[in-house]
This record gives sequence, structure tokens and C-alpha cells, in this order.
Amino acid sequence: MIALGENSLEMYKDVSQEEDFKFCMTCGICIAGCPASRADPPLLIRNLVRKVILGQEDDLLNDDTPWTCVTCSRCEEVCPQDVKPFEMGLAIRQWQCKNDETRLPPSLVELYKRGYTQAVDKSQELRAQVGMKDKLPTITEYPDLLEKYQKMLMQIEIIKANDYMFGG
Amino acid sequence: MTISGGSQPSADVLIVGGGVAGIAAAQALADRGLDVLLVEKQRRLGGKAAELACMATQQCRRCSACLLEDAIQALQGTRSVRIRLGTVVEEASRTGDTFQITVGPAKDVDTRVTPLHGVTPKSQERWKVSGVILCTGFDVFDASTRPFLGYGRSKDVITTLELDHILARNGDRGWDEGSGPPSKVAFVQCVGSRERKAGRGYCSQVCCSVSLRLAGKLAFLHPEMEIVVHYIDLQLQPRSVRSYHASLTKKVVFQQGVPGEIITPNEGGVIIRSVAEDGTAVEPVSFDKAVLAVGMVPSKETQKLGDMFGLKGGRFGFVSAGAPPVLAAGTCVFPRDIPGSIDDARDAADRLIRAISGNKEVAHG
Amino acid sequence: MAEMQKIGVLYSNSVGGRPLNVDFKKLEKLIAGDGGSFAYYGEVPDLLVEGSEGRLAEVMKSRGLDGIVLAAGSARTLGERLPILAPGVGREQVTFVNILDHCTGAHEDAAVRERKACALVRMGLARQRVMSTIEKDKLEVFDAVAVVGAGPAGLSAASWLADRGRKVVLLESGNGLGGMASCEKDVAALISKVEASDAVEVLKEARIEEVRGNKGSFTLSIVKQGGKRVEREVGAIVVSTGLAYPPGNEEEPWISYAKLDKRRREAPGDLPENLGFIADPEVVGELVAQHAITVATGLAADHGKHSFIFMGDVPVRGESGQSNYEAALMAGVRFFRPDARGVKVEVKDAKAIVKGLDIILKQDFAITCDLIVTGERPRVSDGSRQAAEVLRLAVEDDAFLQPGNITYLPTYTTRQGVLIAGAAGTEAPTPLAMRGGRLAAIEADAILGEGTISIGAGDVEIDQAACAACLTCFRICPVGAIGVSVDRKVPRISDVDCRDCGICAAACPQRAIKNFLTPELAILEMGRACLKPAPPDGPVVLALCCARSGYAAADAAGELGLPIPENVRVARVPCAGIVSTNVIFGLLNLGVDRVMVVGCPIDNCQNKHGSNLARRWVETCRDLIANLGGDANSVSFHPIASNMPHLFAQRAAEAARRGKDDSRRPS
Repeated sequence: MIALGENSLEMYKDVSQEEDFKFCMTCGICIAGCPASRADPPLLIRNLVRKVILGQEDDLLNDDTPWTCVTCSRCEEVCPQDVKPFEMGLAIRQWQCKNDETRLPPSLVELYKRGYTQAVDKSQELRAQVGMKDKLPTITEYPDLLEKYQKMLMQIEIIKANDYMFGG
Repeated sequence: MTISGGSQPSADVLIVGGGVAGIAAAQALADRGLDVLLVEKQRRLGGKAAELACMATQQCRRCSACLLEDAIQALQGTRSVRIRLGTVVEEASRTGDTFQITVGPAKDVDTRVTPLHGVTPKSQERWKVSGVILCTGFDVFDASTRPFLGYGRSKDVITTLELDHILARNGDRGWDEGSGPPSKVAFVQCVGSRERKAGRGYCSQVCCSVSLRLAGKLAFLHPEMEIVVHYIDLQLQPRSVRSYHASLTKKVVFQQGVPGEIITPNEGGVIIRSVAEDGTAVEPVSFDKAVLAVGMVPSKETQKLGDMFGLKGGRFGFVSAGAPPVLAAGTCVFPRDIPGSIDDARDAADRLIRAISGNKEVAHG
Repeated sequence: MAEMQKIGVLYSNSVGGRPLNVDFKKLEKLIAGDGGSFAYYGEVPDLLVEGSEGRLAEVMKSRGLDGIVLAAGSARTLGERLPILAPGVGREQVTFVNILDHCTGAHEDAAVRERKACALVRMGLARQRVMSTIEKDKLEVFDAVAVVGAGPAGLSAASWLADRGRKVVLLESGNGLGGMASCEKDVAALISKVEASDAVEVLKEARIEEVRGNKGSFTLSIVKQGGKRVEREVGAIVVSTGLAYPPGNEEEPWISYAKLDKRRREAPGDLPENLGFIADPEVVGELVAQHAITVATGLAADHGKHSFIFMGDVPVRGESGQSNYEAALMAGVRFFRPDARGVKVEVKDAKAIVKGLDIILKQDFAITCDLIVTGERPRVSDGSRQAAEVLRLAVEDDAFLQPGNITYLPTYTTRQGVLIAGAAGTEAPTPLAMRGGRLAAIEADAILGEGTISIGAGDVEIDQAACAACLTCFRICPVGAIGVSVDRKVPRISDVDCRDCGICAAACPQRAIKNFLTPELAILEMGRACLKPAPPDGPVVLALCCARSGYAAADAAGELGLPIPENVRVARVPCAGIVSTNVIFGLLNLGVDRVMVVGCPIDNCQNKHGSNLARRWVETCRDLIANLGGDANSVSFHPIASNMPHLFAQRAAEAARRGKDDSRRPS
């Protein structure tokens, strides 16, 4: 449900100081060529920009999809209106963290578990469809390396502070 | 044309461009007794409108393409309009209320065209005029500059103008020579329009109704054809288009969101990636043809002539409408449809007449 | 009359520098041998070019000719120039035969070319023989223009005409000038100008009760303030009756656009924080939708309000629409895009909650607004409705006073001398309405001309003895040239308005309307003439083409060198609508094998009902022929616009081919 809260209409200023995104015409070119638009859950960058414009604060705060962006910046290249959707995606990530210190994007958990930001274990079916090797090789195939890798990540403040999320 | 004491020829008004707007302006000026010099670069009158097909289905769809024919005919009966075809304005200078104009043969025009409605001078001519109306029209956006749309790579990606040619050439029967009509066609709106990044953040005004009429015509000719129109913001203008759209929604799918990629496989056809109907999932869809609704961009001539006559201040590279004695009208000022260009040109003619008649007694009636 | 006419055939070996490649000397013998007779046969090089003005008249005079068949180029190109390049020669005195396009352009084989040329010249001769001669007459024109409705369009028309030195009668149904836009600066300036002008007579609270007369000489009965009746004589009428905007709900949190405008002007700061605009063009119309964007932007940018616009697709019209939209985006106006079902508004605690489904996010929205601005779609004003009735103007489905683009100028209506301006024609913002007013004024000024207009004196007439007063002609006349006299209840034709299309004569069940420039007889004579010389192969197909659409397409086909079969012979008719069942069966009786009727696409006929009539007549013929066991395909109707030469060539080829197949079939 799209609704407006107390500060919704000023919220975009917190997200980005830019003005360009206001010119989004919702053409959808950014989504249509986006590799992460087929991730699960899909990244719909146009909708994120629109949510910023319409001030959907609560919705955006809990949205994990900005974290599935693979930062290829294709959307930035093709956007006809110079909305800079890629920058917006990154800005939303920062804004989320700034506004919710306890925020743990699921991609971080994925990163810890398998070394990818995306939930790659969910992509097997799609990979099989297009004739790719059905399983993407990940670090989990090398248990000793995985242990080292995870130990290294544990050094990072946010992971250490939330180790109950990762330890299991 | 007045010849005074063996000096150079003169006219009251120079009109640059013999498209819809130029013809309408010339007619309006001549109707009120002014002498007009009409200079057109191509060797025929009509401009881009001459390339359009009739969009009538069971009934007229108000595409206005046939209005041009009427306008050219009417102009034939107008003696005070001197028409120079295959000719461009080379130089212009202003002294007081008069302009010295040098016109000469245009380069790179199709010389196979027989000039029907005017004279094609072989050498330079110098004219004296008291007013100027630029009606230099627009250029069609070059879709090959947006490589991800596949235009130029495959014969299955065409523009709306090319589809017009196909329909004009093959009447209501076929498609390409030797092959049947495609069974799935996708229209892609706003190609070259609404591109703020490229300095073209404007709506080209006509493409939605153009695509709508084309889609309607295809649906009428080939009822089995599947047609999808990918749009951003449908511009349903003029009024008749709105009701036409309502009646077409049963036959044509209108889908919000334009393709981010058109893949052109070697075996033909196109694969389009766009936002799907439900707005979320993105599935590539195969079509036989993609039709790009190419927008209007300012023509190179417009910019050159705008500089020559000091018309500045238009947005996006178009020229400003100006003030007497130098005016611009039609699509060189901003994108417009055919009736809009006619009205605009007639209005510019009126403004100019009222300004000039202050200096000179204009014949009545 | 027909026997008395002396007709000459004049030819030219080139038109506009293009050679015709037809041996006209040989043609002369062919035509004479085929029974074509003419008083003079000769070459006039470079017919109708600048510098040879008056040449045609000279030839006619010196040879004592009543009429001429010009075997050269198209009637469309040469005919238009006739009044200038051949002063003194009436258009009824000349028949054009387009050798250039229909013979030279269409046929490479010299023998075919010459046979075709021969047939076309014979058809031309046949037509010219039955053409009636018109004596020109001049009619005094009333030197005043009535402008109905004093909104932006009406005011700018009145002001333009006053500048031009014309007298204007400006009628307004209300008691103030300016209509919906009276507060706008440009309009206010026009009001003071018009009120101060001696040339403009302003009649407030006035309406037209009755209109008599025709283009150039209308007499209006006007009911003005206090029920007093006056009469005014005018040469032209400009209808600028505008639109009516029905008020929306005014109970807060609802507010109408009109009331918001008022509050916005008086104390914009007092308006509440969150403003919702229901502004889909489907709901409020095109004009209000654009107005909403401007208002919402102003309130957001200048007064810090939050503006929410609810509209499916955002209309961006012209330069101003473009910059308004950009300004709205910059000012932070939020556009919610509901799907086709639109929005629902719930009122709770004096606030409005606007609900709908956003087509981009595919999510429901519920937006709380302190005020919700809306209105109803504008309707044709009562003034327009009344004017349409009194003036007998055609209206479109949604009752706007515009006949569409059937004519070149959008100011034209279906009645001559009556012009339309501004929002009465189509929703137009103030600057466009003012432009519309100026353009209509230009046309009105042209009608008034220098005080007289030329008319054909008493040519078309209704045989009162035969007339059954069924009034078919009255209803069918595209230009309102036929009136009904009050006393005798019989129709009369105005020579001023009649455009000589002839569809009333074709539609008249009593066959009581006579003396058209191209009477049915002319078509039948052309049918007789087109049979010879017979094509060596296949049946003779006579293509009767509307002068405006089909014939232009046929000309262009020749111009492009598209192949038109030899057995298709193209004849020009003023309107496809005159090819009635009588004519078609007459032609088939004479021995024409196929009749193709080529008209405008339905709804784009300059004579309104012409192409529809033609289609129905052809269908009737086909049904009858089929019922009698004949080949229904021998008669066909084709709507072909002037810009579709390829389509014409295709249809001509099909008609010729179909003919061949059938002729082989034993009957």
C-alpha cells in the first residue's frame, strides 16, 4: 500500500541531493536490461526511484532489493532522462544503513555463506533452462577456504556485532 | 513579383521550406495579396508529410495526410507565389526593412525527381524581400544512434515512417514484397523523444497518435495480427484519437514500459526485453517486427537558417517563433501535427501581414 | 443545347517541360475515325503557363468554340490555374484530359499509350458536349460579421476584424465579456479594446433565434437583453460559443477548479497543506488536466504546498505543456498514475483519502488530502448547442461543433459562410483559442472580400412540379445550400452556397434536380465514349473517381509511372456520391464491363455523405446483380485517399484482372 507518512515528502532529500531523478518518466528501460531484474527477489530499479519520489519511507526502509544490484551500471548508461538510477540504488543502500543501524542486508548473509551477494542457490533452475552448468561453483565447495574466509569477515564490525545472524 | 526599373526581383515575403507549414503560410500570404518567394530544398513540395500513408480503416482516422494534396493543389492556383525547388538560401543580409537574399541550387538532393510544381534555377538568384518565415520542418530521429534498439542491424526493426511507406506502397494488401504480413508486431514509443540526457527531454507530440493509427490500420488489415504498443505516457491527442484508443484496446495490447533491449537474432524476428504486463517480472518476448516510433528532432537546416536570420531562444535546438519581420512556424519551432502546423503557419502569416502592412499598403481581399 | 456546342480539342506536346510522347497527329485521325467529332483540333504549346495568359480565350474566340478539351496534364494542376492563366474562360468550358499521367506515365508501349489517349480524349469530348454553360453573376455582400460568443476566441476574432475595418456584431449569452478566461491579462486587454471600438456592436444576454439567407447575406434575428428582438445583416458568422465546465462538488474537502482558482488568487497561503487534483483527461477533459498541472506546480513552487495529481497518462501539449510538466517535476508535484478504473475518494474527518492502483508500482495507494480538486468533463455549452441547431451545423458524436478535418481549414463548418473558432471546435487553451479566433476572422474577412461574390446564376434548380417535398436533398446537402421555404414547404437551392457536387440530384427519388455542371448524362456519355477504341484484351473498366481523392491518387499513380492496365479508363467526377444506381446500370447497359467507383474514405468526404452514398449505391447494385445471377464484381467501391497512388494502381489492376477471368467464364 502506498501511503504518505509525516515526513514522507521531504524524505527524498535524505536519500539524494541530486535533482535529476525527479525527471523519471517511468519508461522502464532501466528494468528491462537489468541483470538483477531477474534475481529473486527481482531488483526493479525504476520502482525504487518512484518510491523515493512518492516518499514511500517505510516500504523502502525494509526493501532488500537494492542490495541485489550487481553494480554493472547499465541502467545509468541507457536511462534516457539522466535519472542516474544506479546512483540512486547506492544512495538508497546508504540511506537504509544510516536510518537503521541494525540493518543487515540479506546480501551480507549471502556473502558470508557463499561469497556472492545474490542468492545464487535460487538460480539453479534458470541456469538449467538456458543450458548452463546447473550449479554455480561457490566457495562452499572448499570448506577450509570457507572457514578462513568467514573468519576474515568476522573481523568486520557489523558482522561481529550481529554474529548470531552468521554463526548459525 | 515586382520588377522595378530592371533591378533585382523582389517579393514581400520569403518562405523557407515547402512542407505543410510553408505551403499553408504561402497560401495565406497570397490570399491577402502578398508576393511570396517559396524556397524548397527538395525537388518536390510536401516535405515529410508527402511520405505518409492514409490511415483510414473502415472510416477516416483523421491522420490529415491527405490535406497536403489539397494544399498543394490550392497553391497551384495562386499566381503570386513563386516556387523555387531544389533550391536553398545561401546568404541573407538585412538593410533597414529589406533583406537581400541569395538563393542557389541545393546540393545532395534527389535529382531524379521531376520538379512539378515550381522552377528549378540552375544558377544563383538574388532577391529582395521584406519579411521571412522559416518553415524548415524537422528531421526524423536517427534510431541507429540507440544501438540497443537494433535499428540498422536487422530488417525486422523499422521506424514508423518506414511502416508508413510499406502501407503506402502496398496499399491494403501486403507487407514486404514476397512475404506475408508478420504475425506479431511490437511498437516502441518515445524513440528519440524524452531523452533529457541527449538534450531532447521533450515529447514529440505526434508519435503516440501515429503509432495508434498505424496499429489500428494493421489490426484492420490483418485481424489475426498480435500487436503490442510499448509506451511511456500515451498522448491521446487530438480528441478523435482518444475514442479511437478506447475502441482499439480490444485488438491491441497497450503496455506501459518501453524495451531496454531489442535483440535481433540472425534467423530474423526480434526479441524484446521490457517490463512485463504485471510490472515486475521481465521475460524476453519474440516478435516478427519491431516498429520504432521515432521522434522529431530539429533539422540541421533549421539551426543554420536560425543563425542566418537571428532567430534564437528556442528550446532543444528548435528556433523561436520570432517576431516580424522574421518568423518561424511549424515543426521547426516545436513538434506539431499536420493541422497544428497549418494553423501555426497561417497565424505567422497573419502576424507578418499586419506588421508589413504598417509599412506598405497591402491589397485588400 | 448539346447539338449547338462547338468543341475544340487542344493538345500540347509537353507539360511543364515533360514530353507527352503521344503522336497527336495520328490521334486526330483515330478520334475522327471512331466517330468523335470536334470543331477544331490543334496544338497550343505550353498551355497554361505564365506569360501565355489569355491565349486560350483567344483561340476559343478566333475559332468560335464554346468548349475545349485540353489534352495535356491533370485537371488538378492545370485546372487550378485556369482562372489565372486563362482569364475569361469559365471552368465549365474546359474539360481536362490527363494524357501526361494516365497515358505517358502509365504506359510504355506507344500503341497502348495512343489507344488510351484516344479513349480519354473521346471521353473528354463526350463530357464537354453535355456541360452546361454558367453565366457568372455578382452578388452584394453585407459588410459585417456576426461573432457568436465573447470568450477569448470571439474577442480575438472581433478585434481582428475591427482592426481590418469590418463591422462586427458580437453576441454574448452572459452579461460579461471574456468567458472562462476573463481574468487573464491578454483577454482583459481584448475586452477593453473591443468595448472601446466603434466597429464592434456588443449585444449582451443575446442569442440568435433565427438565421435566414446564405453566405454573404445572412439575416439574423437576435433576442437581446430584456427579450427585445433586433435584426442584423451580416456576410459571415463566426461561432465561438466555447465550452461549459460543469462545476464539481463544492462541499469540503471537495473543491471545484473554479473555486480553487478563486481562493488561489485571493489568499493562496490560506490553502491547506496537502492538495489532491483529480485530473485525468478522461474525467476532467484535456484542458483542465493541463490547467491542473499548472496550478499544482504554482502552489508547490511558490507556496510550499504538497500537490498530488491523479492522472493515468500525463498530457504534454506543445511548448507550454512541455515546460509546465518539467516545472511540475522540479517543484516536486507527485503524479500518481491510477489504472483505467481511476480513483475512489473516501471522506473521513473532513479529509479526503484518494484510493487507486498505481500502474507503475502495481500497488494500491491511499493518499490523504486536505482538499481534493475535481470537476466534470466540459460539455458543449448551451450556446453552442443552440447555435448548432439554429445554424444547422453538423456536430460530432461528443457534440463539439467541429466537422473534423474533411476540409483543409479547421475553421470551416458544414455550412458555407459559418466559421468556427476556439473551444467550440475542440478543447483549446486560451492562446490557441485566440489563435483560432484570428484564423476564423481571416476567413470571414475573405468572404466579405470587396463587397461582392461571384456566383453561378440560376444554374441548379429544382423542378417544382416533380418535387415531392420529401426533403432528402435538404438533409443530404453537405454545405447547407438547400433551404425550405416556410410558406410552400418545398426546398430551394441557393446559388451562392451550392458547390455543384450533385449528390442531391443523384439522391432525389423524383429526379427533380437539374442542371448540374457535371450531370449524370455527362457520366453516361463518358461511359459510351470510353468503349472505343476497345482494348485488345479484357473488358473495359470505367473508373469513376472523386475529383478530390481517387482522381488525385490516379494522377499520382501515373506521375510515379505505376502500371495502370490499358482497359481501365479513368474519369473524373465531382463527387463519388453522384454515381447512383441509375448511373451504374446505365453504364452497364451501354456496354461498360466493369464500373469502379473511387471515393474518399468514409467520414473524410468533403461532401460529408458522398462516399457513404457511393458505397451504398454500389452495394445495392451488387446485390441486385447477384440476385439476377450476374457477376456482382462488375461494380465495386474503393475508398482511396489522394495520397495512396499505389493502392489505386493495385485496385485498378485487380479490377482489370478480375474482368479478364470472368470474361473467360461461360455465362
